[in-house]
Amino acid sequence: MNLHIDRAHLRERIRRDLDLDVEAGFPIRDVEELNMFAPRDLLVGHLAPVMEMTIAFGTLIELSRRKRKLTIEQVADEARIDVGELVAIERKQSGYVPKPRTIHQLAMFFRLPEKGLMKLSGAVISRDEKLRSAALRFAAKSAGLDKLTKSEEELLHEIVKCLSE
Amino acid sequence: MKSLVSTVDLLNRVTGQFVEAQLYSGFDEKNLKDFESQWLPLLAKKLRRSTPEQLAEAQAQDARWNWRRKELAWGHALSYQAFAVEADSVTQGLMYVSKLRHSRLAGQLGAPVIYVEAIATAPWNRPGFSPQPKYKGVGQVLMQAAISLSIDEEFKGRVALHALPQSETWYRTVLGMSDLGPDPDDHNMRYFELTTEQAMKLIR
Amino acid sequence: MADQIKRTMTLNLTDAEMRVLEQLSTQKDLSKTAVIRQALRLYQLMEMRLARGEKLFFESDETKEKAELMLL
Repeated sequence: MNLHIDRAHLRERIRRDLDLDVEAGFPIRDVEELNMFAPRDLLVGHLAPVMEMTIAFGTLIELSRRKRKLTIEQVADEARIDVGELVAIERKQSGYVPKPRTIHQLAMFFRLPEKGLMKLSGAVISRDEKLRSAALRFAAKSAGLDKLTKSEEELLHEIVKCLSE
Repeated sequence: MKSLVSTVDLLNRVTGQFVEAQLYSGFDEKNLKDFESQWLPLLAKKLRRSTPEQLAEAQAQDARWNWRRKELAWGHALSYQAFAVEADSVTQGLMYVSKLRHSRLAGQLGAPVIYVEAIATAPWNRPGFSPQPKYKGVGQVLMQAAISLSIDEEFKGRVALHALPQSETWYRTVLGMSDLGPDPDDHNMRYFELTTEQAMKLIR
Repeated sequence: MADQIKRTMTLNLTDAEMRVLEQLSTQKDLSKTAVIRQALRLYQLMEMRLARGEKLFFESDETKEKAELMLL
């Protein structure tokens, strides 16, 4: 490849150009796209999803599963995802970012808003402060019980509503 | 694989003199290390405890970009091409383009374009970031690289990109690109395209 | 500079394939070689993402419904 502009002309242009910033591209979107290409083991550590979002995501999936009275194996089987991944998600493993495909499958299976779920899981880095606050409230209030309590049901409803916005 | 495209000149704003620089196609470890050890510390200072608005104001919205990860993802893909500008043996600018996007302009809808996925100059060169920015011309050099690649690929000089807010004037006024307005599918960033006619004006 | 060197290859295409190649060449205002290059780039990119377990969809602009492009 060669430059199609003459060196002297290029110098002239640079001299005459207004002195301005030139940055272009996506600060957020590039992270999302790169997730989809880079080897998984290189993502953990580079991404560090926000803790309350990870807890909220794991809890949301757990409660959604328990609401349907299903085991982890059953969900993994029916949603066609890796059991190990689902365990890691529900365990709310710090720094763990699930595969975009897994999140897609979970969104379809539990009928949850996919875009919002991508943000909550950390697969997409987001600056959605509203979602982050909702996730923090949800993470703080939810607790592990055998049967969903009424307040857990309400909490679940609230966070799902936020994901759709 | 990294290869020299051309020797170019950058203007040292402090001395008012031009210095010799190199335009490369492809990155190597040096470029990535320069980004991590020289650009990032400066950008990170602004990133810590900054809201997106503060980052925008500090002209450091790319503080979370990671060129190594771009290289990891795209380095082996035929459809992506990297460019680097070096002077004083330091990376002064980086750019990644894609060859698979198409024009949105009526009259040339669907025509292949060189799409700038990301372009950035080192923080010490940015007028908005540094009180005494060093080298001028990195952006012009990289855009010329994109136009030249577009011509070589038979895309007739067409280039497209989404500008960060602080750069809109550069693309609209200095380069004379067509402003297609905010793109709702991409964070409402303004989408610009360079037509063949506009490209020809820039290379003369 | 090793990967800048170009090699020549002969393509054996059917009449139908050749017609498509010529049509795309005209439509995109690209040489036939440039069309093949674009196709190769697209194919490689698709393979990279499919290998990560992703699917390729087209989305209807009106209905926002996704239809699966390929089952592989």
